[in-house]
Amino acid sequence: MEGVTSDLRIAIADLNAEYASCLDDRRFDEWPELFTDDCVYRLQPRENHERGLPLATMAFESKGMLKDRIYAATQTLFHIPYATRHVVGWPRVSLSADGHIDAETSYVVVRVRENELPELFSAGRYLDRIVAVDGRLRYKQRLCIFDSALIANSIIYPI
Amino acid sequence: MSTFRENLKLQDDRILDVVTEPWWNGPTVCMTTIFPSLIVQQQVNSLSTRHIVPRGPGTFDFVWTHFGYTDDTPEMTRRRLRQANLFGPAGYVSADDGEAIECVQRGATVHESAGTYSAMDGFGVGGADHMVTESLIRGMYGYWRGVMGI
Repeated sequence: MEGVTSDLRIAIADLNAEYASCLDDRRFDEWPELFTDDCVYRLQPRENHERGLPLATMAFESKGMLKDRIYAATQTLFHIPYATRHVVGWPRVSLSADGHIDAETSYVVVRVRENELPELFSAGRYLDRIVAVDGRLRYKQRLCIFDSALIANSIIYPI
Repeated sequence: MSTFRENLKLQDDRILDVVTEPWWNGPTVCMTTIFPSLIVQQQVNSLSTRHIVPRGPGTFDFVWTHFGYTDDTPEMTRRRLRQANLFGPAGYVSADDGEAIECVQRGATVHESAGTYSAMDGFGVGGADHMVTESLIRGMYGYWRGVMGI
């Protein structure tokens, strides 16, 4: 793709790896810091996204809303405890006509509850708009579009 | 309640930007349960239905549908969508409902030859002026058994 350098591609792959790592390692306070202050994060089923329907499973419009989610997930939402393993593919990177960095990356999340077999929890792709802030890449927008509208009961932590 | 915390404050409170609508005529929450499997609800500006679709013994699909009105302003639609973060499979007030129900189900089916009885607030069925009761569950299953001839 014209204009997309290897360095940029690798930097985006590194950002995605950092994102997966902070969620799987439960360094949850680091998750909002991978976004810009005026960010958008949406977790949405594919059927709504493709039909242009606005309802999402999670829909956040600022870093403050991301922090509120982390507080709820770690402090107030009752749930059967679980760990996650995000497996993230190689990003497809492109530059928009007005110079924005866009990326599309497949993902799978495995959920592990204590003393149970690992289970496939979510599969889909991230649709990202990425910007540089003080020399570091950050998500200005991350849409996490999951392929099946059927969810195994509840989603507590962001994906 | 051991986990009530008085001083919680949102970092971004647009998620609770509630505006009274004329048709409320007062109440901000209304939950209507229609036997056997439907809840139609209003919680502030968020309007939705919850539908239980059984797949077989021990498993059901739980289908959320959110709606608004054709004459909603764009601001009201955005408000409804923001408040939708409270509900659904990842909802701030709904996600733990689903988890708690799964825990209860696991406890109720732990032994295949034993039965389970929900006895909070006694063994009867009837109204109450409090919510610390499983009277409604007993009533629902009692009526269901009659309808199903069990």
